Amino acid sequence: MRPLGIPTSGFSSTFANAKNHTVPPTQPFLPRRGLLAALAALSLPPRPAKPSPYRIDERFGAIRFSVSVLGLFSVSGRFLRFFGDLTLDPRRPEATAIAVSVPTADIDLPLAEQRDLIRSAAYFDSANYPIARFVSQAVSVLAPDRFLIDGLLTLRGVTNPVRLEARLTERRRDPQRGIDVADVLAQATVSRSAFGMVADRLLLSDRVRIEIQVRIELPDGS
Amino acid sequence: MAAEPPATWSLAQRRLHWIIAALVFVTALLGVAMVAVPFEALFAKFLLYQAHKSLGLVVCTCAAAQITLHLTRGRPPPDPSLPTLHRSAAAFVHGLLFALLLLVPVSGFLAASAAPAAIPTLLFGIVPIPHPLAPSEALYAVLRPVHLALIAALSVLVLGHASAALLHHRRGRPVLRRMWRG
Ligand code: HEM
Ligand code: HEM
Repeated sequence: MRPLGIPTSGFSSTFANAKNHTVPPTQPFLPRRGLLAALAALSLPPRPAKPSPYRIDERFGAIRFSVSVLGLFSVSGRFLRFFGDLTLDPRRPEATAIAVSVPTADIDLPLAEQRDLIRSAAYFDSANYPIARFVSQAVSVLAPDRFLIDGLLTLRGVTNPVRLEARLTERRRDPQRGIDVADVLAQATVSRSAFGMVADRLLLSDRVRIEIQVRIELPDGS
Repeated sequence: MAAEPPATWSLAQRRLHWIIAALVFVTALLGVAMVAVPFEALFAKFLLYQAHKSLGLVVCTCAAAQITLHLTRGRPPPDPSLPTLHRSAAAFVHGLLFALLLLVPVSGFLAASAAPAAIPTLLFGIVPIPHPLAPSEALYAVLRPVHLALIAALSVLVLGHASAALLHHRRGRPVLRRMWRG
């Protein structure tokens, strides 16, 4: 089911910090993660002194979606893979930028038939539009830990504005790795019909809830 | 249990018997249909599943009511024209039928609870019935075949049961008549 042999439940973060990093490059995740993580760490860009884009993918978090069924209950799934760049400086949240690509065929849903259906032409149409993409355009800060990310979502070849409501959880020590981490929790509600995805409107809500969770490593003293 | 066994089936007992028979038939048809309908017809499939689960639970309730009625009102003694072997065979099959009328819906309900799809059971599309089990691939892999095996047993017994009833009727015994008209 999972295309990569990487556990997706526990977040591994090879996420490098932006500034003043004091963590030795090859440190604690290595014993736990093994060769794959070591390779991933090697593929990260070198760490410069100022904020720069960090590669994010499914090892750092999860992207889930859910629809309501007749307003009675909801069905949710998860994108198994995503990749993109995140520029995040906790000292200057308004400069946050994010661009993420999501392969629309790699989806976790309970039934094989559900997975086939969501890849089909009536839904993601993965054969013709294998990648969905979100690119942020502007970030407004509501509070030190809450911000709005406005951007453009391209799905099935249609681009629409989407607003993400993001929250930064409290920073906490990751004792295993000896670094400070925090989670970015973002959510959005999109209208699937705006992307031409109108199948089963009687059964499945037009509004699709999207939840994104990404674990980031914080620079010391920020 | 009533002291004197009644001379014949009460109206409630007769109605329940035929209502259960009809519901079992329709529920089984819905079961086959819901599995056969493709996922592209998602709404129809969803409705068929909910209808199957709802009617199946009604069968369970009706069977429980029928058993209660038999225990409180009693049932008429077997028709005197029946050979002894037929009487004990009938008693045995009727007992099994009652057991299956309860076990088939219960196994179906447990299978639906454990199903990985995690679709709630909504009685007639509105009243949510809490699932006693959490979704589990492993449990479902056991419970679904159990439901199907019990259905196979029920089908065989119902066929035999109905054939016997028709056979007795053609031989002029009042068995079918008393279940139909009292
Ligand atoms: C008298 C009662 C019932 C009868 C005669 C019955 C009959 C059937 C039949 C014929 C099938 C289709 C098997 C197939 O074609 O693969 C089936 C499947 C099923 N039934 Fe029932 N059923 C009954 C009650 C219930 C109840 C009460 C529930 C749940 C609340 C239930 C849940 C299921 C489930 C989950 C399946 C499997 C569907 C699948 O394979 O996706 N059944 N049943
Ligand atoms: C799903 C279908 C059916 C089920 C589950 C079923 C179940 C039962 C049960 C449990 C009894 C025992 C009597 C009692 O204590 O209530 C019974 C009696 C009887 N059934 Fe059915 N039945 C079904 C279909 C049929 C059909 C199709 C016929 C006729 C063709 C039939 C004819 C009879 C008759 C005549 C009796 C009365 C026996 C007597 O008076 O001693 N049943 N049935």
